[in-house]
Amino acid sequence: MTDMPVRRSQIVPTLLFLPAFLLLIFFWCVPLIPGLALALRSPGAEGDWPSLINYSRLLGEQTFRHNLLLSLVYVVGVVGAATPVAYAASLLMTRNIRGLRWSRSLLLIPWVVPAVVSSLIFRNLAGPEMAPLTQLYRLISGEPNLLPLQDSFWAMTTVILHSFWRSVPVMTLFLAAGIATIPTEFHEAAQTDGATSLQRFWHITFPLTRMHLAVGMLLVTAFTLQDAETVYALTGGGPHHGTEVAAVRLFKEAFDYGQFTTAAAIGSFLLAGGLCFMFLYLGSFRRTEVTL
Amino acid sequence: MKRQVHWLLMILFCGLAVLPILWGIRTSLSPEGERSLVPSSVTLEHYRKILSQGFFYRYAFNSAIVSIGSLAVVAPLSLAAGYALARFRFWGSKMAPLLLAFPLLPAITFLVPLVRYLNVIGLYDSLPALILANSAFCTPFCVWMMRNFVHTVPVSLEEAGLLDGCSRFSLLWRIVLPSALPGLMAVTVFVFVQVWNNFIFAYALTTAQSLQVLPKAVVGFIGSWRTDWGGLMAMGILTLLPPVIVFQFLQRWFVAGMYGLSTK
Repeated sequence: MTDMPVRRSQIVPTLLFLPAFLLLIFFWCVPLIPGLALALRSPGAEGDWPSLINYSRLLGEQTFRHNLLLSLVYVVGVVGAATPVAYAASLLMTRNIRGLRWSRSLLLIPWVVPAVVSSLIFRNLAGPEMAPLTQLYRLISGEPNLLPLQDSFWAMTTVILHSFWRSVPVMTLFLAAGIATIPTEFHEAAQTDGATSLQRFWHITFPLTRMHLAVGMLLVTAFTLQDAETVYALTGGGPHHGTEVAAVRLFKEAFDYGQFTTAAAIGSFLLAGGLCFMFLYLGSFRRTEVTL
Repeated sequence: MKRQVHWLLMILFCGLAVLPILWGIRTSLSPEGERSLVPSSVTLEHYRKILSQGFFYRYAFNSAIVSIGSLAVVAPLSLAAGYALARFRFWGSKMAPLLLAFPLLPAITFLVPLVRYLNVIGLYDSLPALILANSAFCTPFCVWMMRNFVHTVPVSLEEAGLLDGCSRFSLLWRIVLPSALPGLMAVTVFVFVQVWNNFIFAYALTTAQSLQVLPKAVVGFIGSWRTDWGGLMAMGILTLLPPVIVFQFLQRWFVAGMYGLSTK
């Protein structure tokens, strides 16, 4: 820790820190409290308060349980697919192979493209008759007339594939950053001892990038859990709620149907999920700090 | 041999990353109903149709206002806060881990209360609402990146400035700012890409037709242009160009920012 000479002053750092702090307080924390209170109001202009009706109605509803299940499928699918691919990409990226520097900006493209635009592209890829993904799905499923976005399973597959495509770059960067911190001497020493590259990965790279892996996975988890826009733009939650993850349900309840109390209740579910992941993340962060 | 394998793998990865975009470009350049993978003839008709209508410029202008406005808010705020976190021990230091945790909370949860809240303060359905919401969303990550960049600037430089009688703020302006320039570049990339691409705040916080930003317009067109894939894709490609161009020029700094983020 590098400390400045004027160590005791609290005024200067407070003045510098305050604007950002206030922005966060006013736009994250202040709306949150009435927002959570909203979930406890029964629907309608003169709703009762407090009331658990939003929760009991949601939990009693088969559609909502399906929404939650789809959210889980979505998160597990995206994180499960993106992690190994991002790992491989980051290992390649940090090799510093001559002539491969150009690859970095191409590799990061999916992160830079607007989510709604790439959703639109995937919608087209799995849309009309001659579209490549449609053809591929037909080949795999053996159904010559399959319309992927009219079929719950293939629609969800497309949604996961799209978010997987978008998530790989960020995770790759995180992992590459982690790999770059490993001193080259470690690998050199292992090499002189005759360790194979697989052994070196398993005993050096992997354990030393565990924290980066955890952070990367949790970032992708959080983004996927709250992602409404790509699903909304790709399938609109259809066909027949087949891709309606909880975040999309929230989005539609609030901004398409104006059911703000229901939306707030769904929001509290997502917030609880998000908080769980946050603690998991903080926990793993602290643990690795001790071991380092 | 090993080299060739690396090359092949890298080309595969890059191909997978870029192919969907190429498909989008292909569709935007094809005449309606084109069935082959590589179109037999290329047409600029779809682009001409969009660029000949006034609404496109209106929405692009709104997008630019919101992106640049957010940048104008986030850049100074994150520089100041990042500097404070990097150089002082104070009450904010304990907040730092929380700062990084904010983006892990589902932003969508805050939307419903935010709508009511903006209604109360009279900002609902305005571009400033979008600027503030987007700024709040980007700030935590940018503060963290700036903090890490400031950490890499040697303290001795500032001590010399202090000895010469610089005030704290002119120190920030004359010594820290120039050396934190790469950090500001990284913040610029992050904010521009995030804000330009943002759909969810625009959809939730604005309703007026004249306040639409490009991503919201794209989603709106899915409803009304349903089968006009060429037009939709042309609109999509025009929307993705600005962030992609900005990123190509400034990505070096952003990658450095990410590396700093994880090494600290």
